[in-house]
Amino acid sequence: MSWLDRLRTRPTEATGPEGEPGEEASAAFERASPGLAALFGVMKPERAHSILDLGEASRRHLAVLSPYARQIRFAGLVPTPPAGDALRVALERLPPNADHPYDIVLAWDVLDRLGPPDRKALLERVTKLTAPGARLYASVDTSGAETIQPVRWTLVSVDRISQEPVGAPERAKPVLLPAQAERMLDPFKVTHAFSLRVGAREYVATRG
Amino acid sequence: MWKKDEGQAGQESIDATPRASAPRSTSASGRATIGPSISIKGDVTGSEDLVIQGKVDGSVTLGHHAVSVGSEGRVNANIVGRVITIEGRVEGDLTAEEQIILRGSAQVHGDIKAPRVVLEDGATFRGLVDMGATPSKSAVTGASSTSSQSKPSEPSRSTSSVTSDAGKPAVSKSGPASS
Repeated sequence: MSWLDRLRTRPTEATGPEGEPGEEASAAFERASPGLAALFGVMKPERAHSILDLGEASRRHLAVLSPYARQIRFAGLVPTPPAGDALRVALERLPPNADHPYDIVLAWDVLDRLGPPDRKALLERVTKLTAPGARLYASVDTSGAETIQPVRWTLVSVDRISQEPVGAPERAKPVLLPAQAERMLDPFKVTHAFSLRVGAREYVATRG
Repeated sequence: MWKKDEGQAGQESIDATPRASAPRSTSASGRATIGPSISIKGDVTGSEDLVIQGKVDGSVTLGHHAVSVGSEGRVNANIVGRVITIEGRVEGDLTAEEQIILRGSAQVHGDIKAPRVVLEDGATFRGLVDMGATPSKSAVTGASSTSSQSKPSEPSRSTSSVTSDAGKPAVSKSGPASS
């Protein structure tokens, strides 16, 4: 079943609160993720992959990812990415995969929450840890709100995701326009981009 | 090699015994126990199951035996065992012949390598999960055997179990959506 077929079988809008300030801010909500559906659509469920997940480990996450990868590294940079020197230290501590470079990177919403120098440092490190052909998934906030609520991302299935608000809202960075996002992701070339009604855009990009 | 933790004044100490078996606290279950007041710096080796409720800095190598780090356990060491169960805090790599279980209270920072990995809701883990390098000696697959490995006295918790038996894709209790 292709990623598009999977999406057709399920609603594409958010199934819970859409982030209105002060409204059920602590409730997790689940939504369809066309970006993840596109990513998993090209992955092989034969444990052929090596995954770098910039987020946290969780039971459901591991259950969804494990059929696809023998090795999964959880970096823990999301939901609270460090900045400046702390980020650089954390990135240096991310070791290369001994067997083969990571070929799948799950960046969640980290890129749009970093300033340009930190973003560049993160992309450079990810590029070092991957080989040409590696795929990257990223989500960026496009709501235009002044604040952004950090969330814990949990894979529910290969095309659905749960977002649980954690911590205090942060001042949002300026919204990344599609062309800016594509430049930001270089040397990863965007192959799929989806604008969601929840105020986010998802990208799947392949390293050139 | 056992060393006294010189910085832990007032804590119980253990005689230095090079490469001795894990410290024995007579227990009905036959497992050796490092109690909550004990602090060890050095290499722990042995040929029996071990429960760590205290503090260990160094390494823990019990290749064919079970190692458990209790909820009070604080381990800054690489751990090698047959089955490794973590309820406390570990900074170090875990390598198991059969299975690694991170219970809900576990906080682990390090790489884990085992044919089967169980991560309970609430467990905190940062590092690499490698489920392929160590060949599985058991023929069990799926989560049913995982339940049997769990403490029988504890209520059943929601867990995710992944295996790499025979090179097949992992099996999980909740199961990923079919693709």
